[in-house]
Amino acid sequence: MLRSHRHLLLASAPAALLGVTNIGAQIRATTGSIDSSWQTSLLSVLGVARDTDSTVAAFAAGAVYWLPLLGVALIVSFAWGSVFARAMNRSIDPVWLPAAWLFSLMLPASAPIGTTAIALSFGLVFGCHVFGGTNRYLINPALLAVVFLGVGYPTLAAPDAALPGGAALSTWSVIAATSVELAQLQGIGLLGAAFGDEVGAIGTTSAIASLVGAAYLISVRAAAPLVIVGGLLGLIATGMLGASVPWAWHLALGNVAFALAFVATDSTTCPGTRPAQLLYGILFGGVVIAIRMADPAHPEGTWSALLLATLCIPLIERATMGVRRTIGARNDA
Amino acid sequence: MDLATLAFRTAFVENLALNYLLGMCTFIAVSQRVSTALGLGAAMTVVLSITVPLNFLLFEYLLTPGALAWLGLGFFDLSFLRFVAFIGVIAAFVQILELVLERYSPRLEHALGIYLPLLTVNCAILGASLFMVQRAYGFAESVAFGFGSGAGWAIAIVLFATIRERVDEQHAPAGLRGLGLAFVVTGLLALGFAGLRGIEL
Repeated sequence: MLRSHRHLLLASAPAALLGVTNIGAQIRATTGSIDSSWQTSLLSVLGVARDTDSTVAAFAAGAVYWLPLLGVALIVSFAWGSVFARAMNRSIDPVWLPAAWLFSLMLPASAPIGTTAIALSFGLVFGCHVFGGTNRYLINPALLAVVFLGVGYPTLAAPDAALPGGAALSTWSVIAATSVELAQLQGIGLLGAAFGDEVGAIGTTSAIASLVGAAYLISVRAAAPLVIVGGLLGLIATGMLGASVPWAWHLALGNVAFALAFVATDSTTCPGTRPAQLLYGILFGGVVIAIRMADPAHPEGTWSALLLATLCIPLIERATMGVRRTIGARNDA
Repeated sequence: MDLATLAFRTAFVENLALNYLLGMCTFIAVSQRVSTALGLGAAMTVVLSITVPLNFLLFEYLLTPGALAWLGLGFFDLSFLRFVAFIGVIAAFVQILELVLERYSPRLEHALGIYLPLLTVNCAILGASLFMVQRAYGFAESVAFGFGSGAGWAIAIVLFATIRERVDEQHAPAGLRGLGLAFVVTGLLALGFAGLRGIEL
């Protein structure tokens, strides 16, 4: 396992634990009578009664949904790694572990396992392996897989897809459809949402745990700080341009903080120069709010925005290098 | 839909290259180097911004059923001539563009090579004029649509060229090197642009 991958797993573990516990609590709070899946049967077999209100019970409920997705993702990821290792006559690409881990955290709890296997296969093959794997791919395979899932299976990206059985709208959709003030009256608080108490994807809901993970990644030099600074700047600047939802809410809700901390900082796709890192972050933050606010349907938008920003990296790098070259030429003259 | 939204939608959402896969031959062939791609993108933007409104005028005042009423020939319907007429306008305009480039930017003209005169039969350019008829755009709309589709095509090919420069084909599976990876990257770009599909200005 690569050093950067080890740090990534360690840094995202708190976000994963908080997220899984939160999603378990949300599932227990809303479903149960509607949802008669094998997961609920398993929970009752395990003795996690619906009325026991404890963190452990919430984590167990979340894990029952998350672990199968993680397990299948690991198997699919390792299988594609082996196929390409054999075909290309090299060792198994280390990306299989972080890709499966991140992907499982980015999914809605309601995602059907077979569908996620297809999406992850697409992400790994067309995002990573055909370009030659780690250090060469253009787009983080987990990111491409989750975008593919949203485009190919729109019902899984719908506002009510976060919990099994369509039991609740995602917190972001509630706020986008009404207003921050109305949402606060319904008991949705900024601090709670930032800690991860919201309806969203399995592992991405806790913005604070994500940012702590980002700080850890920066401290061990496994992430470029300017990407995260740029992302925050982009959110703040675009948020101040007249978006009706303040930037802090954009950061706290949905996948933004998780994406910024663990996906945008991927060492393979991250831009090489400092101005490019900053611009890449700003572009991501700006496009997230643009998609969230300027689209009447108010989709969550993080993954599409990050994909678009990532595709622009070669252009950004080239443009900033061009600027540096002309400035250098002017100084030489 | 106001004009800014129309131009934005045509450039990013209904992108001729990435959504309709029009003009793919030039898109793939002239994207090896960013500077050439930039030149071709600019040429496409100019050609589309001018030929779509020109073709609108031509269609509206000569070809559409009843357009010749001002000659007392209101019973004529010449709309079946639109393919020939549109191509004629485009060919004439591309010739003019070639002369201008030859005079002012011979290097770009040389770099574009055969693909500059081939803009005449570029399906993206003809396609834009045909979409203009099909969607019944007015004059101002056809200007916005022509500019938007040209700018969108230019953005797409420049992004594509920067990515292609970066892809290291040495490590790709042998069968995918070159054209195969080019199509994969085109697909990824289309997926990226799909995220903007709902935006309204």
